[in-house]
Amino acid sequence: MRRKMMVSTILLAMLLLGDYTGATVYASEEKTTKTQETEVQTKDEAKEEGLTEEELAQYYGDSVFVGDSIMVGFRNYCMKKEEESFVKGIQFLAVGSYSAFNAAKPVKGDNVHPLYKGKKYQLWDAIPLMDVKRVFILLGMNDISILGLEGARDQYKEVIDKIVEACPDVEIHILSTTYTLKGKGGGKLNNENLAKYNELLQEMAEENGWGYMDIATPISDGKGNLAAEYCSDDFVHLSSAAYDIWETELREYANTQQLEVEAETETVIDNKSTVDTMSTDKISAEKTTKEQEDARSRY
Amino acid sequence: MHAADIKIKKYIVNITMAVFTGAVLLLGGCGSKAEPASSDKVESTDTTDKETATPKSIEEIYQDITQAVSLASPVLMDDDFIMNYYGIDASILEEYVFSMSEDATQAETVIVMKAKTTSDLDDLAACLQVVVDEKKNEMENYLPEQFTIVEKSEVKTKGSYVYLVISEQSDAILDIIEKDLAG
Repeated sequence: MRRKMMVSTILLAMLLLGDYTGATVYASEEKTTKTQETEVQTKDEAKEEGLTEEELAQYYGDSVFVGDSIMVGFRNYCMKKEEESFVKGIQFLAVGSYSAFNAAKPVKGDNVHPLYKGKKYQLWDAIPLMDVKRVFILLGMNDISILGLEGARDQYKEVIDKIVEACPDVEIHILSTTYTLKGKGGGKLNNENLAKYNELLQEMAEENGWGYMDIATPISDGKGNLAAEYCSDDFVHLSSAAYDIWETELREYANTQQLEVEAETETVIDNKSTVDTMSTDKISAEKTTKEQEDARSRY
Repeated sequence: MHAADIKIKKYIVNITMAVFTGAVLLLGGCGSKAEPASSDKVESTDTTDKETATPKSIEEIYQDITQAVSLASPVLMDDDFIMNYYGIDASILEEYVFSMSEDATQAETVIVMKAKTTSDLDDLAACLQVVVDEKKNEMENYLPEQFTIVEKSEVKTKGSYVYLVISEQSDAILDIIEKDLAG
């Protein structure tokens, strides 16, 4: 009787332990699956949210922003930002009154050129010294009155061509010119012309495989003028609030650029795997034929 | 000569010698004490001079400026900025402030730098002259009022310091700088 009870107890204990162990294994497997799901979810969310602050800092830290007084304003805005902001590491070649027309002039006398380490340089001489991967360029507002729309666009292209010649690997990203307050422009420098000029710039960017970023529309009043709340001088210069918008736009632009690069990379990988699969198929087919021939020769 | 006279003479000689010895000892004592006293006095003078001539730190000077004068949205530039734009190596500076207006249409600039060695002062002054020339170029055909302000500005040096003020209120700002540097 006692022996029977002992055997029953042992059997019951084994069953319970077995169940328990099984449950543990199952729970562990379930946990692993859940962790993997969470990881995939987090990655997807990150992808949807875009680049991290570090990635943005890296992207723009490898960039130089070129431009006139509108860009000088952005430079000063960036200098004011906290150390951890992604715009803090941007390098600048910016000077008030700058234009494509001025950029083409030699470095001589009072000619306007941006400074790099205490010296004036033409862009195509300064940029190679800066170890950057991309150039964001904002010129033209000071050119339209002198050169007209097409003339300004052509002069702009000449300047960019010289930069590309000096640094063939840099990406070029053109920033649209921004508008003036309603009715504050004069002569050829008016918002209608600025809008047309931006169209020309966008076309030029598309034709040459350069990036184009519209920074005028997000700070406009929706009617093709600079919105009053984004103007600092009752004319054309931008307030901190406008540069806040730029910062947001730059974040989105970098994300878009990154997605395009990823899409291109995926296409290249897909093409490569297709080629690889085709090669593998060809090798297998050749192998099968050879085996069949061998078999035939054995018969 | 009487014995009494001889005694008196001896007495006078003894007294004279005693007075002489005492005087020598006293003088020696003054001498040995005079040197540190004199040194003390020099040090004390020095200390007094230092106390009156110790300039304020540049941070304090800038604080005095911003308390007394309303600068146009000033932005303080950092080591990277002063190197990338003007080629100024911050490591040769003991301290500095480099303030520019955030507004690109305002030339206002306040720069005070203290060099670690005075041999760098000429180079630093040349770098600050580049700031003046750059501002002139930017404003000349564009913002004539600002150009006039830049034209009036001048790079100055004093002791280990070099400074530049471009501002409508330059007289008031320069007064503060010079007063604070004088200690």
